[in-house]
Amino acid sequence: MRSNVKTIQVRNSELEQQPVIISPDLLEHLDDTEKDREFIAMESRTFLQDAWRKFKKNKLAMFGAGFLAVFVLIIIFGPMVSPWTYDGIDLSNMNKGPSMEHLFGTDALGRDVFVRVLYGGRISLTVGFVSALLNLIIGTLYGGTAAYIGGRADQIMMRFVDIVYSIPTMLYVLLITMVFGSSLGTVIAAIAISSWASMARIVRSQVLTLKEQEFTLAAQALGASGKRILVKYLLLNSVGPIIVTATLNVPTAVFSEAFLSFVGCGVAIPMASWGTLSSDALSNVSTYPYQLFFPVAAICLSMFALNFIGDGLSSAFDPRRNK
Amino acid sequence: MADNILEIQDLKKYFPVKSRKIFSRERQVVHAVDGVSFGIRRGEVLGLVGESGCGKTTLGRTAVRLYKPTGGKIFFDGQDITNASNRELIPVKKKMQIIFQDPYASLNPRLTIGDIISEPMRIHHIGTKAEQEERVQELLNVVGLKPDHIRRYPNEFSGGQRQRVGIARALAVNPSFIMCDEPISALDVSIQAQIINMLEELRDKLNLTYLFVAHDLSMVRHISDRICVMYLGNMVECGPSEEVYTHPMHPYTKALLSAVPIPDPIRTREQKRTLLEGEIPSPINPPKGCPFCTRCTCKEKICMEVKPPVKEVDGRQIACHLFP
Amino acid sequence: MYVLEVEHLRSFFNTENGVVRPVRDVSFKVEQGEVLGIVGESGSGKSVTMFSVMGLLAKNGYVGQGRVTFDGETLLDLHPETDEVDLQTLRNVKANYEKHLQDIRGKDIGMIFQDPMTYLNPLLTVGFQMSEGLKRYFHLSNAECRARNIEMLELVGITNAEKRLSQYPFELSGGMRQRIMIAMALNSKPKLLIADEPTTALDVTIQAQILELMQSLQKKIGMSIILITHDLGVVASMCTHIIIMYGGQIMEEGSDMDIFYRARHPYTEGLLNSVATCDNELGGKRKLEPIPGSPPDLRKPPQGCAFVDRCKYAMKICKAHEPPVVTLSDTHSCKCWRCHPEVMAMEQEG
Repeated sequence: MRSNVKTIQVRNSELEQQPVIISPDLLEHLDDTEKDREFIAMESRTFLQDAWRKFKKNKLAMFGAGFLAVFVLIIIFGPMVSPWTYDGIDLSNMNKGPSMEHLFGTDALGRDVFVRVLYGGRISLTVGFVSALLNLIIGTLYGGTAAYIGGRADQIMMRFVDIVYSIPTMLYVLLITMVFGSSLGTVIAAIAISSWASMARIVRSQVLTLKEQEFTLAAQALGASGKRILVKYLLLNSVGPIIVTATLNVPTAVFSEAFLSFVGCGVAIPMASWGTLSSDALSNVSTYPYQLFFPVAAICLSMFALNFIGDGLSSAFDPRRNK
Repeated sequence: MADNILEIQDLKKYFPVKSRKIFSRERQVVHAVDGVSFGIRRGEVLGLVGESGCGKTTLGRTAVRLYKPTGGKIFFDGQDITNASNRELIPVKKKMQIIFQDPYASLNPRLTIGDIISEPMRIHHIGTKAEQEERVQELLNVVGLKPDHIRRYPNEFSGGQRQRVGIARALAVNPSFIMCDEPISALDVSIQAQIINMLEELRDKLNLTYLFVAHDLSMVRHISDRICVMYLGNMVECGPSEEVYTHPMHPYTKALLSAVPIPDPIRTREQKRTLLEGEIPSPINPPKGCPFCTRCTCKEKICMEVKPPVKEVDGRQIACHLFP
Repeated sequence: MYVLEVEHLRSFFNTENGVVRPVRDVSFKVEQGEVLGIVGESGSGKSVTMFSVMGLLAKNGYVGQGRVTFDGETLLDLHPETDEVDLQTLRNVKANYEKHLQDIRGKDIGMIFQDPMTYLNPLLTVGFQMSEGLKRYFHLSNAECRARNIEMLELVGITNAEKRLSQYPFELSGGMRQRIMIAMALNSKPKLLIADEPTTALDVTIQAQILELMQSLQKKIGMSIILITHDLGVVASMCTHIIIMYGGQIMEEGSDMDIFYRARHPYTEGLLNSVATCDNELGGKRKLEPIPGSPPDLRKPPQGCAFVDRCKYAMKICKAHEPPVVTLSDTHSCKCWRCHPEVMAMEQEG
C-alpha cells in the first residue's frame, strides 16, 4: 500500500549548495558513542497495531464498522426507549403504515414493526456472532490439531470434515430441532455445526505452511512442547486469516438464520428474527409492502457492513502488503 | 571416543519421494545422507562443506536429531541418542543449540526480540521472570544490540541484526555444542565477517564446540579446525582444515577449491581453474560406483563399479580409489 | 565512446512507511566493450539503479531526477526546477520512459537476473520464450528462429540443443536455466548486457562455468557488460572497472587495480578486510576485520556521509556535511572527506 503523499522531495538543493567551510575543529574524530551503529528508523508496531493502521485507511471498511456500531447501539437501546414492546398486540391498530407514532408501521396483529425489527436484530446478530465464535473455536482447534499431528491422523480428521461439509445445514437443523425442540440455542448450534468445517480447512492449510517454516523447526530444536508450538508458533501466526474468516462467517450465519426462519425452522413465536419477520410479511406483501421492506433492508445493510469489514480486514492482514 | 562431544557412525537419512504414477508401487527414496561417520572433539570447530544438494544440511540436522535417522548411530556426550524419544531429548537439547540459515524465517514474527531470546529459558524452566529478563539484556549486549531493542519485532531488523538475535537465542541456555546451519550464507559480506568473528570469540570465551555447515569455502576456512567435504550424500574428504585447503587430495575437493574466485585481480588471473563438466547427479538414483565418477577428471574403470571405501591417508579420511 | 551514460540519477519508493531513497545522485559511464562491476551490499541501491535505468521499477518506484543516454541517444532528461515534485508528473514521466524503453530492452540491452526461474514462464517451452524477442524485433520466421536458438544454445554450452528447445524451465537444473537466460539475452546481439547477481544462486563449480562462459562470450561478441554483484571474488575475476556503492551513493570508483590495491574509501577498505579467501598465497587464514554495525536505513539516510556511523575514521565534518567526490586520477575517484585536498593538508599540519 502506498502512503498518501502528493509531492515528493526529490532533492534538497538548499543543503547541497551550502558552502562547506572546513575548519580544524570539524576534523576531530568521532567517538564510538557518537555513532549510531544499530539505528532503526522504523517505529515499532505490533502486528495488530499495523493491521489497524491499514484498516483505518480503508474508507469502505471504516464506514462499515461505523455503521455496524451505530446499528448495534440502536438495536440494544432502541427497544428500551420505544413505548412499544415486541409482543404487544393491538388489534385496533392493524397494518398501519409508517407514521410518527409507529416509525415502521404495524403488522397484521398491530405490533410495532420498528421494535420488532430491532428485536429481530438482537436475535439475528446474536445468532451471527455466537455461531461465528463457536465456529472459530471448534474450527481452529480441530484444523490446527489435525495439521500439527499430520500423517494418518490428519487424513482421518480431514475426511470427517469432508463428511460434515457434505451434509446440508437443513438436515442438521431438522435433526437438532427434532431432538431438542426449536429455540435460539438449536439454531445457533445447527449453524455452528454445519459451518466449522471450512474454518478447519483454512486453519489446517495455514498451519501446514507454517509448520515448514524455519522458526517452527527452531522451536522444535529448543525442545518446545507440541502444545506450545501449536499455540505460540502456528496459531499465533494464523491469527490474520482466522480473524478474517470468522468476520466473514458472521454475515453468512445471519443469512443462514434468516433463511432457516423464513422456511419455518427458526426461533419460536412470539420471538422474531429478521427471517421470521420477512416470512410473516410475505403473505401480504402486495398490500403492505413496507412490512417486508424494513426487515429485508436491515438484513441487507448489516450484510453489506459486515462484508465491508471482512474485506477491509483481509487486506489489512494480507502479508504481501506487509512490506 | 571419550573426548568426542558428538560422534556419528555410518549415519544414513533417506527421504521417501511420492511417486508420480498413482498406481505405481515402486517407492523411490532420496539418498540425502548415505553413510557418513565422523566425530567432533570438545572445543573443536568442524566445517561441513559441499554444494547444494550434497546433504550437508540434512546431515547437520540429523546429527542433532531434528530428523530421525534412517540408519547408523549418533552419540552425544557419550549417550546414544539415535532413537531417543522427544521426552528423552529435552535435556539433550538444552546442551545443543542451532543457529539457522535464514535470519528472516527462523524468528517467529509475532514475538518480540525479548520473547524470542528468553524462549529457551522458558521452555527449560530456567530462572524467574526477572532473571530471564536480566539474562536477555546480557545476551543483547554480548551480540551488540541495544537494550531498547528488546520490545521490537523481528521484521524491524536488518539481516545481520536478526542473525545476532538468533545467536543470542542459541546462547541463552549455556549450551556446550552449537550446530551452525549456514549461518552466514544469507548475509552481506561485511556482516558475514562480523558474525564469523563473533562466533569465534564466543567459542573461546564460552568453550563451545561448533558443527559449522556452509557452502562458502573461504569463510569456513577461517573458523574451522577440521573440515569435511561432502558430495552427493557421502563424505569425500575430511581432515585438518589448513592441510585440506593447502593440499587438497580428492579430485572433487581440488575442483571445488579451484572454482572459488579469489578477491584479488592479479591472483585470480593466475588461478588455475579445474572446470567440472556437468552437474550433480540426482540423489534418487546415485551412480553405482563412486558418487563423483560422472564428473571426475581422473576416473578409472573401477570408479564406475565399486564405491570407494573411506581410507585413512596422511591423517585424513578420504574416499577415492586413487589412494591405495 | 560510451554505451551508457547515467547522470545525477535519483529514485525513490513511495511506501506506507514513508519515502525510501535507494538511489541518491548516482552518475556513471559504461565504455564500449568494458566490463563494469557494481559492487554493494543489499540495500546499497545497486539493483535499483539498474532497474531505474531499465524502466523496470516496481509500481511504487519513481525516477525523480536524472539523465540517461544510451548509444548516443538521450532517453531521459529529467531535472525538475523545484525540489518538491508532484507525484502525478513523475508518474507520467515514468510511463513515457517505460514505453520508450520497451523497444530497446531485449534488443539493444540484454538482461540476466539472479533467479532465472522468476523470469522464465513455467508454462511455455524454452524455444517459445527464446523466439519471442526475435519475432518481435527481427521478424524472423519460425524456422529461422529455431536455427538461431540452436546456435545460441550451443554457444552457451548446452548440449542436445534441439531437445532443450521443447523442454519447460522446470525440467532443467539451475545452471542450465542460467545458461538459457544468457542465451536469451544474447539472442538479439545486444550492445550492453546487464547481469544482476547472475551467479549468486548457483554453486561454486557452476558459478565458475557461468563466469568462464560470460568472459569468453564478451570477448567473442565485444559487448559491454554491467555486472552487479556483492561478491568481490567475482568482480576481481571479471571486471576492469569497478563502482562501489553504499547507502544509495557511489562511494568509490576506479579500475580493478585502483579498487583492490589503492582503495581510498574506508568502506572499500572495510569490505576488502572483511572478505575471506581460499587462496594460499594471500595468507589464507588472516584475521577478518568486519565493518561494525548495520547498513543505513534509507527512509532516513544520515545527513552527512552515508557510511559515517560505521566508519572507523569518522570525523565531525562527516556527520555534518555530505562529502564531495574527489578525483584522484583519470580512472579513480572517491567520495570521502579524507581524500579532500584541504582536509589532507590540515591533517598533515596537525
